Amino acid sequence: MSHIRGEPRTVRPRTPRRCGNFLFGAWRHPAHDTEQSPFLAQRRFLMYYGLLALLTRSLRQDARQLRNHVFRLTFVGFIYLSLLWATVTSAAFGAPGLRFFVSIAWLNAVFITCAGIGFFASAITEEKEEETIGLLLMAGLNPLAILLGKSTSRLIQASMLVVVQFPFMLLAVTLGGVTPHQIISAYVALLAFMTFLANVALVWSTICERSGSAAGLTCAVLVAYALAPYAAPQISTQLKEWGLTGTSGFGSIIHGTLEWGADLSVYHRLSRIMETGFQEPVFSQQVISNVFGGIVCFAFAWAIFTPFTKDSSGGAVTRGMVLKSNSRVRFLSSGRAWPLPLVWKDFQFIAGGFGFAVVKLVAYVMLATGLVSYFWATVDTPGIGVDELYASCACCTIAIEASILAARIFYDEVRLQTLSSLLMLPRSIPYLGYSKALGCVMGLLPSVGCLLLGTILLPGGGSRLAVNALIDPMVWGFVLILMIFLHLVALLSLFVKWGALPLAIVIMVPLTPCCPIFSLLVLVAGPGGVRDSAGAFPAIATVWILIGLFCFVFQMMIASRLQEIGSK
Amino acid sequence: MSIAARTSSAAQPVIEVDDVVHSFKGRRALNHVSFQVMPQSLHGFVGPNGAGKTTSLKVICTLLRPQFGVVKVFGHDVVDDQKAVRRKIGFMPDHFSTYRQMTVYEYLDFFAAAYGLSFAQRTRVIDEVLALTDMDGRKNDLISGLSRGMQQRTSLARVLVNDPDLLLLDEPASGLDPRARIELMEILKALRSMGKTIFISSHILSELAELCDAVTIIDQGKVKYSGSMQGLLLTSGEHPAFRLTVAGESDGWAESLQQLPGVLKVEQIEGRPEYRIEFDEAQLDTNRLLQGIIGLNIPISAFAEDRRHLNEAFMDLTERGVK
Repeated sequence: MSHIRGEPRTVRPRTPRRCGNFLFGAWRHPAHDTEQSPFLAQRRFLMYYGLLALLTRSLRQDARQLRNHVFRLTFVGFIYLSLLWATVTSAAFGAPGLRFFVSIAWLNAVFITCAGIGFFASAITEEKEEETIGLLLMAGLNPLAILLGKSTSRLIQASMLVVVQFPFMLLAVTLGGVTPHQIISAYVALLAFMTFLANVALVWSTICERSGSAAGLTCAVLVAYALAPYAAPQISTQLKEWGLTGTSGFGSIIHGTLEWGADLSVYHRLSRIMETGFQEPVFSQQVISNVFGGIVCFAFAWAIFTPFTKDSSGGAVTRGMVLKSNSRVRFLSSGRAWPLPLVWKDFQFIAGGFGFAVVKLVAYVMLATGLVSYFWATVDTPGIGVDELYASCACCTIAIEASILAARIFYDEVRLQTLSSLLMLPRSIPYLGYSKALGCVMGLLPSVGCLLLGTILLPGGGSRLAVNALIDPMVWGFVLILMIFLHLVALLSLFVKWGALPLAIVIMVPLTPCCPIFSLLVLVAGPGGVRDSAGAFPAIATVWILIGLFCFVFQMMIASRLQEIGSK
Repeated sequence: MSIAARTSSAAQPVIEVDDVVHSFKGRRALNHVSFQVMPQSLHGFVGPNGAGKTTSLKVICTLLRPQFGVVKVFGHDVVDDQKAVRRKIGFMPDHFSTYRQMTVYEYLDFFAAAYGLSFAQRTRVIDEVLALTDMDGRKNDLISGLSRGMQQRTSLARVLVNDPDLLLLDEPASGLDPRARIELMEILKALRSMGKTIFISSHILSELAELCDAVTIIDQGKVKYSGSMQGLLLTSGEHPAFRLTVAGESDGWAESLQQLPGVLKVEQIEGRPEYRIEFDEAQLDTNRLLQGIIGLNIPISAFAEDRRHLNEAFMDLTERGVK
């Protein structure tokens, strides 16, 4: 122990190993360096280079995992098949290249939006949930290294999925109707959007404790982002009416920002790129603003990283609005367990309980009132009545809520490792599953109530609309698709730690049109199918059988997986 | 029921594991495992990591189906009669398995309701188990706010809400501080005194040795020993032995001791003034042996039963530990 007695220590530099995360091995505390050390510069270089340690590791891991390449190959295969289909049908339609390009570009936009939210928003929250963020910091990684490693690596991985399509997309030029300039512009716009999305999600991922909250808030930002091109001109006009013109210094800044806002959205940009004769520059305002926004968000996430991760509670479970059973406000408390205890548990602790149900009901009633009032006051669209619009919005809300609940129905059981205790109850797995589902369905009562209330109260034949919907096989067809989707989400939540919902979207969105189920559905419920030849009721009965069949298959798979996890 | 019938029922094993085989991905976790657990006993289940303890427990508690062999709990087959088995047992896994967003009372109330107890029954049973586990002062606390020891007690309270006759505890003391561990062991003793059969898997051998009536040692999926704790701790496994420590010079006493009637073998321990005396129980008891030694005018410094510690027995029986 010569150094304890004060004798000088010979510092022998460690040479970096050329495998794995060698940079950890190369890092040394600066206090160990001496002014005389000939290796000081090298060590300092390695310390800064250590910023990229996690990023390098993530990229290497991505490159080594076969499943990532298979996934990309599948995506390319899908594009190739679409290209083949466009070629086959080119004789029947004009500009097949443009049609192919448009469908793939929009598919990419939807894919990035839906899948990206879950993928990017969990970058930091997954470390918080696993309580490993402190370990990363203790391993000598600074916040910037963690952000680069956890988020930028994902951005690069997702970008690869888009970039790999590019050569295939150029083949669309040979089919006609689209120019290389349009394709390049579209892909640059998509990559810029992805940069923006990844970093917005990173900010929320840094702030929030749980992936679900981060994904929800990212989703809210994206809604504002998508509405910006429509809202910005109206705000600008309104401001001019109030006297804030673009001639004053402050006014010019505001109006300039709103002009940029009008070109912010990738959806708006893609619509313009797809117009015939598109000649705008590749690096448009959308591209510049999205990339700049992404950089600003990244810098912001870096700035707030330490304060928001310092006291991370490890993604602690919360009770939401449910008060303790001994609370004085008995209505908002969970109370005693019901005779159907699993229904009680999932209604209270997954669906949010009575308090959240009341809040949702009030919010939905207010939204519905606002929507109907606005529609009556301003819109006069032929062919669509307020009752149809209302019913569509309510059904969409129910579908979204149901999807979120499907993603959560088994999430906490898996995360808290409580499945083994549940399986030990003298109850069958179907009993457990259906009870849990019933508890979650109770959480849908406010939105279902709003739908029914609107159907009854709205003038213009709401009840007629409901009856028409019930005897329309296509409506039942959508129910079938929704049921498959919900089951898929629940099943995937038993396989993946996070992001079951976006993953299900990723699987369903591109696959649904070319899936045999969809073709069968069209054959049964679509025009010229069973509905036209045998009538609506046989078609509905067939769809019901299909619903039962697919639900049964999925439920068997879920039960089997539950048993497997419970016995692990 | 007649006394004879009751005696026969009491003698019937609570758990019968017969020739059970279970593999995971080609690796045999249980390799023809057989053992029995008798009623109202505290039976320890010991083995190195990966020996097959948790797999055995999961097979017994119906979470895993044995691929071969038969497992019966209270005479019910774990495959054919799962519900009957589940009603009679309480399984505490090696993780807490608690809903951390619930309060202790809500958690117990939920499980009591899940076992089909009525409202009034639940109120009574929960109060009882809270008192037994000394958790009544914390019943309105969120589980997420409890210490590890308290969470473990909550988990144990949950296991007790359906008043099971058999408790299966997988590493209940792991990660607990000494105080929490001692308190848990006290609760287990209290449960045994209530007539519960407890099958406990643990790594803390000293506590098991003190607590358990019987023990099963498993290694690499094979049962190395299953029987009474007393039997395991005997050094040779055949004859009782005592250790005699002599004050002063030690030479020459071995021959004299060997002459005592009933003494089978005398060994001097590594040159120390200490002898290991193995004797035949049929010819000699402890009193007479001690009188015989005193009669030889040996200056006795210490005289004690020669028992292996459970650690030694465990190391002897499990291969990887001594390699």
